[in-house]
Amino acid sequence: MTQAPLGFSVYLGLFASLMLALACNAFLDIQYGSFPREMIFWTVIIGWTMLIGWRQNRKPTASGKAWQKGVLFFGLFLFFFVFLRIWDMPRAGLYLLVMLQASYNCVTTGRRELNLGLLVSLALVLFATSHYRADWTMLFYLAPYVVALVFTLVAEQIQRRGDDLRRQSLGRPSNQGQGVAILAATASILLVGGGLYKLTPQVSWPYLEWQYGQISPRNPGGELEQQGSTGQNGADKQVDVAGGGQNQAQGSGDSGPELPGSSWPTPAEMRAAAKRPNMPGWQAKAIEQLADVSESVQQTLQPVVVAVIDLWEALKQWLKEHWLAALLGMLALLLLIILVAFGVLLREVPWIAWLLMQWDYLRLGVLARHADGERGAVQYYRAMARLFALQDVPRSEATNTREYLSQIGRRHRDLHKNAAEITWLFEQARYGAKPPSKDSIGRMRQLYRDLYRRL
Amino acid sequence: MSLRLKFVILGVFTLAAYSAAISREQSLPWLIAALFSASLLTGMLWPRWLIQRLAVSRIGPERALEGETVVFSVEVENRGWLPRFMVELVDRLPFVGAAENDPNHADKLLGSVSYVPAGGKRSFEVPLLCEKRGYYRLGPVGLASSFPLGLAEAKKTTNHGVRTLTIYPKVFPILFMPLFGAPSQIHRGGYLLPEGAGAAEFSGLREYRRGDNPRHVHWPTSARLNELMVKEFEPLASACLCIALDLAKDANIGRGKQNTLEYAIRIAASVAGYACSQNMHSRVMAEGAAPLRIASGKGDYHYQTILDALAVIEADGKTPYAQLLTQIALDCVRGETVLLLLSEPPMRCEATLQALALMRAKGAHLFAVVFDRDSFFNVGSWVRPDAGSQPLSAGLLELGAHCVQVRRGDELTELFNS
Repeated sequence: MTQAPLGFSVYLGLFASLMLALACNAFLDIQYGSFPREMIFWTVIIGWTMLIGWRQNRKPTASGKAWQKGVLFFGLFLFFFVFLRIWDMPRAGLYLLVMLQASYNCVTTGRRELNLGLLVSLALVLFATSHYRADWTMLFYLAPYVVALVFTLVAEQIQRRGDDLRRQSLGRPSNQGQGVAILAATASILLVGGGLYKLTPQVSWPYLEWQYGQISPRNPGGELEQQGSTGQNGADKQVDVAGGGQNQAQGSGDSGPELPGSSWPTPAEMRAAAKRPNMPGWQAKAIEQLADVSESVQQTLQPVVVAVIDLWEALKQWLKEHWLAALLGMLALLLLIILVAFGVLLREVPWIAWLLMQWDYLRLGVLARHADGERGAVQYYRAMARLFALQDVPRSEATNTREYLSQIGRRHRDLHKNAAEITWLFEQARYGAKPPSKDSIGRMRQLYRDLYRRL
Repeated sequence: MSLRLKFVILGVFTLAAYSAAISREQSLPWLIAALFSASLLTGMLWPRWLIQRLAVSRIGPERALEGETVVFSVEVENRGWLPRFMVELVDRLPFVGAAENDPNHADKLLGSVSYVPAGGKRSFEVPLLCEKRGYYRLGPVGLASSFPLGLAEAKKTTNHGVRTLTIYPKVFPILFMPLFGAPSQIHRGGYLLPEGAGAAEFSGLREYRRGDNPRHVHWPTSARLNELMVKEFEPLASACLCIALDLAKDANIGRGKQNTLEYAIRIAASVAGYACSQNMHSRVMAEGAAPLRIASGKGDYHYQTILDALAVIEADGKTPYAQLLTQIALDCVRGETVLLLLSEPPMRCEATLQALALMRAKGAHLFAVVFDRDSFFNVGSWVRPDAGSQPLSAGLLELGAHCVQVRRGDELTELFNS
């Protein structure tokens, strides 16, 4: 199988993923005002190297490799003379990784290089979210990053599969709609992933240990850079962690360690975050709006939540008082379901079917106790179907009247005429403009009796 | 990468993500783990749902000529209320790739449709080359999908789209054949005679019937009787053909389309076409697993019957050619031309020549197409040249047969019109 070239949308997704991952890291320095400068620098570096990679087709060219080396040396120079001075380790090391990735972008022409690029972006994001300065405001970059990451992976997969299918196809169907397919797949994975994320109890080892009476460490390690590190860190006070994450167990008292993601900032906290120095204007505005929406939603839902809680409490109280009645009711319901299922299964038993057929004949054929109008026609048609079902021509639910008639015709050619007339009368009754006359029902009865005798 | 391997890798990643998430009091690892799980779930379940409530139809010709490109129109209809993506359409088309090997019954990918809107339809065309003559059962058309991540593939085969395709042998034009006229066959009625193949003589008058040639109206009698009367003619002599095919297994040499049977069938179909175009009577005789007997006839319908038979026959018989020729010799008409298609092993040549001698004794003319067996063996494999082909050729010349030698790769149009 030949290697398919990466599509433009895949390059775009990789670029977005890397830039948003870098934005998460640059956002850590928001209070120093270097965020815009950092972003411009990385946009130029990543954008240019990505352009070089995109312009090559499938296989890295000599110019791509030359650019790769050039960017690599430039990155090493920056690491020793700029990154180490500004950020020190480990941030400087992280940015060296970005420069290595930028040099690799120059030869990114295939799937393997793409996956490596996405892995690097994930490492950047993990570093940023582990940082002690990371808080919920990083979600403005983290959420689009997740979308970009999933989009890129899905787009690559779908485009490659589409190319493979086109190569193997005998025909040449249109490629139209692949973009919609990529968007739909991305949206579905994100939605399902979001749902699972919300449903999953996000426990941790310390939480579990505490839950089962073990002595658990508070604030276990994991942060790559702690308060007091050198570089652009200062001695600023930590507000919160990414996505309402770690370190929330501090000062939680007897309630034990809190689960990650279990808290959401209050509108007041949001407004405070929007007023932080050097916060980008659009982000501050968005946070303000978010705070307003959150506040109004809280106000609107408050009575509903109270009512639901009251109802729940009342239900619990009722169950406590009438637990025996509830239990008996559930058992009765269960019994009813079993009986219904048993009844449905019983109809398949041959001798029960035979009895039902005889009952049909007695009721419809002998006593003529049929309903009037359409219902009567339906009764006779069903009786005929039951008659033939016993003769190895059962009617499946998916079979329409014409198909069933042809099945009858194949097995019982001599009875086809009668069956055809009953079918026609049934169709007239069921789908015709007028309800069936008494004569029609009478004719159906006559035909049914004839069929019964001949079978 | 196989689907199972992909699934295992993603599963391992998911487990690793969850174990990393539980070890760190952070939300992002949980989100990543949830996304991995979502990918697994979506990749496993979505394909199964995608192929539900989809209807597919394939419309195409039921008859085609060998070498012709037929176009199948494929339509996918989404009867669901949500759109469908990347639906693959697979079909069983045994005639594709039949020229090189035996017909293979593997599923072929007709194409894939990237997007079918809810309640909408998508269609595309599939041009296919009819490589080898035969009677093929096509379908059923199936649906498959591994959207979006290729972790699992769901397949659905419907009973729709089961059809047949008859590919007739490729016919080449024949402008002239050295045939001889047979004596009168008055009982077969009046018909147009091939040029130079005999003559017709006035035999009587009868009332005009619809379709009669107006040139044959006898005007004086018509005027006298006040009714249209036409002249009837008795053909004194006309050529008639018997095509004798050798369907013995060991007489068929070569592979795929390049075997003696395929060449013989092409020649037989072309000669039958020539005979029908010249309004001659022709019949076909062969002894395969089931005997083939097409009685003498002429006209388009007769030619169609011959083509239908030639499209499906295989070299699956055991009867020696000499036995078939003996049967033909016993019931042949004097002056009838027998088309011989000789590709049998040399050891049976003697018996064949004896049968041909009997045929000659009964007054039949021989038109022999002799296949050079050596040329039909696989290229590159050393094969001992047939030592017995020389006596056969000599014997045929002695019997006064018109001989045409055919080798693998010969241009039959040139060979039969030179």
